[in-house]
Amino acid sequence: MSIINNQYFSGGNIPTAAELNAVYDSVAASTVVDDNIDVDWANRNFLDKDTASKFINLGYFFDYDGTTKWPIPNGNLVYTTIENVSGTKSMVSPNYVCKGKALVRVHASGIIEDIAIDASAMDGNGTNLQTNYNVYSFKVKMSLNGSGTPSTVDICTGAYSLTRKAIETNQTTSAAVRKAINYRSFCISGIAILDVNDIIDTVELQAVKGLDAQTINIGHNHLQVIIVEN
Amino acid sequence: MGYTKPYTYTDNTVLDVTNQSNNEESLRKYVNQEVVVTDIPNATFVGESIATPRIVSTVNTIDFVTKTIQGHNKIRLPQNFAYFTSTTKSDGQASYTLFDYQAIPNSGFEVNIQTANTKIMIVAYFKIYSDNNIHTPPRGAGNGRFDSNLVLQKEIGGITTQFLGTKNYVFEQSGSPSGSTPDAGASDESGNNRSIMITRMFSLAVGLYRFNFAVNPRVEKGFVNCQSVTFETFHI
Repeated sequence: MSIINNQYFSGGNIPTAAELNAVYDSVAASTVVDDNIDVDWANRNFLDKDTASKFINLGYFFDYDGTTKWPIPNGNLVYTTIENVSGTKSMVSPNYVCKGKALVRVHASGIIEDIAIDASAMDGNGTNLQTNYNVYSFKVKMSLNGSGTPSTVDICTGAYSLTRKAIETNQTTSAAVRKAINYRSFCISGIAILDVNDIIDTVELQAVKGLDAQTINIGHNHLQVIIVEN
Repeated sequence: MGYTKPYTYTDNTVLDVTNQSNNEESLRKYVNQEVVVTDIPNATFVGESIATPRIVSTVNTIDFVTKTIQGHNKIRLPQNFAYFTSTTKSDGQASYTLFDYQAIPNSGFEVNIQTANTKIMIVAYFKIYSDNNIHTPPRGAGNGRFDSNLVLQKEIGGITTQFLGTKNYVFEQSGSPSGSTPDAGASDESGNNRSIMITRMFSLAVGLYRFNFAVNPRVEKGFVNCQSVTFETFHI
């Protein structure tokens, strides 16, 4: 649909069929082209900024800003959702149905408070068999219910060491090296692409420790989820 | 092109009012409401058809249709540290109740919110360290484990608020016995060299906000580099 032809008649004229058809045929034969729009025609003012269901970017977030520590529970290498306050997990529940191939972007951050290293296990003997002694990890897990079939997606993970010892080393004696690093920040981020009609039920921030004997306390922590429909 | 006129005129035929009305109505609908995907061939428009981002380079701001991005990236300038110091607190440098939050250069932006419940996303990375020689005997309370803490803060209407849930630490040193809390744990480099990463989302009311990060120092000489900070305001 480009410029539409028009017919001009004077008083007393008898229009012919061709003249009457011309305007309509002009539309039917043409198509939308660049002439029909102007520079900056699609700007923010024309878009609905008040109805969340029409948003291109949808944000969900969880913040635990308190001082109650959450020790990563024993669990044989199974990730557990952080829960500084009983009954309030570090998670969001968008319950969102994807309109198109939505992109899900997640960020998570927080602080590790004090760590108690098991006096017997320490941070491992420096061999790869004991790498897990010196590791804890975070994960952002997304639960989906696409067409009624539940599934999960691990969007991102990030692992940290309890001490400043490298994974494999022959350093096993220095107390300075083997002391835990307390009050350090952690941060992970990632993206996932979903299909039309996937339903995002929940997104959770989880943690796990490599060895049950270690004590690792999580302090304030934060989770952000941005669903991008574009 | 999805348009077909309902009635085709022919010469020497008396024009029926319904046919005429149908043609005009179909044209009105098509032009006003019925542009669909198949009406527009690929590569029809130029990029300028959609509002292009407005770049305000003086304040590192790019304003897109759907969001505004503000940010700094100093990762390529690792030597570009700024100082912070507790000497501004006179003899209260080690106090746990005396605060002097000092703004970190390149870490702040004005965020203009025009629609209620607008969400903003903040991602920031800092390199921060203390470079104190522990005095012997220690100066003041001098337990060698002083923590300086870094927080996000906002100012609106002249009121500054710290988000204590963003508190992160760098230590003077660690390993010395003391009653100081928190305890950095591992000594030397691990205590007084910290990479701090903060992510935070807010839902804001209408207003002009000023966000920045600040340090409450408890050491005489500290260094901080805001290596990367991004503020995203999601309009739609």
